[in-house]
Amino acid sequence: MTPLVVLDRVSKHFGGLKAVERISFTINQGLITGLIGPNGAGKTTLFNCITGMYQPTSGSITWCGAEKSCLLNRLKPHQVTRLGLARTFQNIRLFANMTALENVMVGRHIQSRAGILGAIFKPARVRSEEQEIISQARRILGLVGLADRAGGLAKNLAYGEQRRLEIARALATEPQLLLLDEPAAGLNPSETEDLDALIKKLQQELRLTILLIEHDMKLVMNISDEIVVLDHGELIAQGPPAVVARDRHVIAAYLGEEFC
Amino acid sequence: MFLLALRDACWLTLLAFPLIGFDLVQKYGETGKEIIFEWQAIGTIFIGILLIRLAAGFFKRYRIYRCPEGRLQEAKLGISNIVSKVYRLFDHRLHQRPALVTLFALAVALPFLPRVSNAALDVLTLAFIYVVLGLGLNIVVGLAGLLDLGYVGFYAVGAYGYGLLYQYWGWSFWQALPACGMIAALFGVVLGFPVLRLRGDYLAIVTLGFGEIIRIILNNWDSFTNGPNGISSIPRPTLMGLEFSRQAKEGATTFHDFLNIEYSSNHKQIFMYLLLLSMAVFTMFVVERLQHSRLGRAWIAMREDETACAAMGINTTLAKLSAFGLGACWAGFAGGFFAARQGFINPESFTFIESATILAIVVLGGMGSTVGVTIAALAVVIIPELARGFSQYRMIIFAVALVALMLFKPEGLLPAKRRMYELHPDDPNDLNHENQSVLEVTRQ
Amino acid sequence: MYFLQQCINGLTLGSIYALIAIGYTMVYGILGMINFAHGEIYMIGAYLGIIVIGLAGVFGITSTPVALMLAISLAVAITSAYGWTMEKIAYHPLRNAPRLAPLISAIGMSIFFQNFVQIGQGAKDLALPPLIQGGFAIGDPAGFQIRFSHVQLLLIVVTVVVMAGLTLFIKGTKIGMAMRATEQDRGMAALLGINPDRTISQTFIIGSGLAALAGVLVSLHYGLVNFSIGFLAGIKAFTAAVLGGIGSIPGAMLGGLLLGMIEALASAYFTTEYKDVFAFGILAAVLIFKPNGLLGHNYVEKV
Repeated sequence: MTPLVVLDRVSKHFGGLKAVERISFTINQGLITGLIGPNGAGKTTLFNCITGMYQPTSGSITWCGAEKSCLLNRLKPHQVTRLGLARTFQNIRLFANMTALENVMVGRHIQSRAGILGAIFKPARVRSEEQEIISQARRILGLVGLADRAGGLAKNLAYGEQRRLEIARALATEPQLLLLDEPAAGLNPSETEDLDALIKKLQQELRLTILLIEHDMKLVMNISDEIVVLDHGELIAQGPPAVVARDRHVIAAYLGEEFC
Repeated sequence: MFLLALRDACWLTLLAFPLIGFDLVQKYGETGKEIIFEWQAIGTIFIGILLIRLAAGFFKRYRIYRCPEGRLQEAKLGISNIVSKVYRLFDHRLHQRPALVTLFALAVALPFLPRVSNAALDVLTLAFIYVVLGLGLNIVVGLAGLLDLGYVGFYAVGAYGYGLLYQYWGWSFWQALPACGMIAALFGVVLGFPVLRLRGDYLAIVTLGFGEIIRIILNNWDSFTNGPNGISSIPRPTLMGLEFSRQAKEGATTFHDFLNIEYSSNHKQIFMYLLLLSMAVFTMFVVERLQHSRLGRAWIAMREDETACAAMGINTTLAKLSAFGLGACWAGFAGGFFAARQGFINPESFTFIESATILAIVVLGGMGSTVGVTIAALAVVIIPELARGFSQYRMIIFAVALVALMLFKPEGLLPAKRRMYELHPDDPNDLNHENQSVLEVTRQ
Repeated sequence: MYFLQQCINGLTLGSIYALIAIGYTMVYGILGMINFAHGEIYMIGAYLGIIVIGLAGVFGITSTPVALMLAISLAVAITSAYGWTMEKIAYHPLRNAPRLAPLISAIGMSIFFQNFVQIGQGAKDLALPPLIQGGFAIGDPAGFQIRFSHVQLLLIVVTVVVMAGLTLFIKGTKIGMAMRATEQDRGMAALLGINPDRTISQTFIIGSGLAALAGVLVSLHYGLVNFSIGFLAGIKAFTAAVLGGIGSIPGAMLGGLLLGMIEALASAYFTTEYKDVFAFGILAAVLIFKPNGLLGHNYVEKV
């Protein structure tokens, strides 16, 4: 197993609040890693540290990508994305007044290069690049099942469609690691099943590595290869789903001490 | 409804009374003063408000009455509706050459039509400068979503750029014009840099401050900018070196000598008109191209959600600076043209009210919509000129129109529409969107 | 000595800015909009003060304190009515409109008021005979003296008293609590039985009243008003509000005083022409290092 991201004693403090405290684990290539824990456990904070939204107070996050390895600690979000990490957001953050297709086209930004002059004069190179962006964006929309909604404004899409559009937009950056922050939140059971299938498809067909925050235990246990459990900012368990599910710390964190 | 209108009119008249209703006049031969009531003014205000209020009430009721669900668009009344109907007509063809060429040809032919006065051309020339300004600010505010209240500063930089380059080094208009754009763009980037972290209204007030600072410096740096007196006798542009004056300067040829025709001051006017027309069309073209490019999408994405935009790998610092720089660049061009048109500039032309007017153009036009901003710019310049007859009330009419338009059409005349990259123009799945300009990707 | 004199001048100027800034900051706190016409409201207050004093003369009221009280109370009342009406006409219908629509509407109102007063009262300066004269002079009568006029004293004292009163009002009364709640979350406040429309109206009334107070005091201090004084004063007061952290009432006070001091000292020790450059420059500098102003809430975006 090859590691893709290695977290070493990562801490993030907000004033006196220790949101994340000395967390170490490894995200392995090609696997789906589930990140779970009760509300306020520090999952999203950890996500934000990895994707450059926050700078960790201490510790190191190392990226071991196909092209290069480096520390993620001090990078800005856009630099992190350029390395090959892409994320979705817990509270949907689409470009509300752009169409679904345009949302995905924005995701193609780092895979294209036209500049100001290119935009104005539109030489053949830029034209073909635009064509490429559009066709790739359409293909990705098709992949998440939104092909027929391409022309709709993002804000007019149904909730489940918006969740899938966020994934499509992240995929458009051609990441090696996809970070999904509660992709199933607010979905009904049948939509969750579709999502389950989609994530598996992404792993198998696109050979993506996925880090997933989720509260829907059925979904997490079903699709994760590895699970990391956080509570009060600390890592309390990790391992394959079957092992984690029987871990007494995990049961205590979720259900209370008396169930151990 | 009439009673409501009466109530409102009474209240507003009462409010206006202390400021409008009377004068204190020195009594003849005495030290005391007496009160003279201005009954006529009070009466005019009362009746005026009553009529406006009745019209507004009628308008509102009529709108509600005529608006069954889903047919809102059709039921709208008024000028804005006519405008958007015309726009709709063009919508399918706007990007097709015939319609554009026709419009352009009409505009080009205009000065050669009989009965078109020099004054009218002059107003249109000024209006085209505002088209350029509006479209430039549209990049910053409409596309990138950065509220800039100091835009006039860059306009001033452009105008003074030409004025000073001429005064100190004798640069001609055509030499100075690119420099105007570049200097202004440089100012845009340099002033944009410190405010990158600021959001929304904080950005607004700091940019306003920068605009004022530029004006104050121009006003006070007497030894360099000539202070409040400004720079005068700035030469007008030439056509390939041909001057439009009666007498040529040494070594130069005049336009009428070259063509061997009678001198006429019309030539100069027509030339300026055509020059600014081409500039406005060029700006429209560039802004339209930028808007639908990779960079334009990055700007709009940044406007919609900066965090998500950064998560897409877009360097928001660069995106912001490029928006500031490009926006300022157009203001610089506009400034250069302004200096050339006036022949005289001083800091008085670059006050906050100009920034406010340009911003009003962008918002009235419907943020981010090229055609809308163009129409708004023409309207904002031409309508007050038409009201020249009531020169005293010109600004007050402008102000009332501004507020009224915001009340009835807060989203602007022609809100920006998203371009559809449809492969099949008649895809039945997509008929539910009214914001549709059906365009084929393979068009060009 | 010279420095002390400039401090007094700065304090006077700052008090005016602070009084106007309150109106900006309260409206911004609740509605999230820049009320660009607020400077004009201040200007109208100044005009009304002078007009009332003139009227008092016509009706034979010669006692200065009575005329002054009359001027302040009437100007504040009428200007508040202006503020209330402006909100109802130009801002209320735009509650849910795109963000820039109220701003443009406010700019429209600002142009309207300027021209309205210009038409009604003429473009020339309107002068007020000095009502309160005299003052204190400290120091050697032969050398440099610090001058501290009674009007300046009045201005500073009134400002301090009003600020204290306003703070108590916001902290202690039901209306103040409703305002704070509406500022936090308008929708939730409405669910709890607060009428947000009424609260917003009250905010405009208070803000306009304070601006009018500033206007009357300024006309006493300088003796001259003009239809265009509102613009610059408004911009400066808004700068003060942002400097202190917009939305925060103590911030507006602090920002106002600070800005007044900066201007007074800059024009004393450098040059008068560039005092505005100093004011805006310091604003930019403060915001670059503290993007939410001096006393503003620290705004951390949830991702």
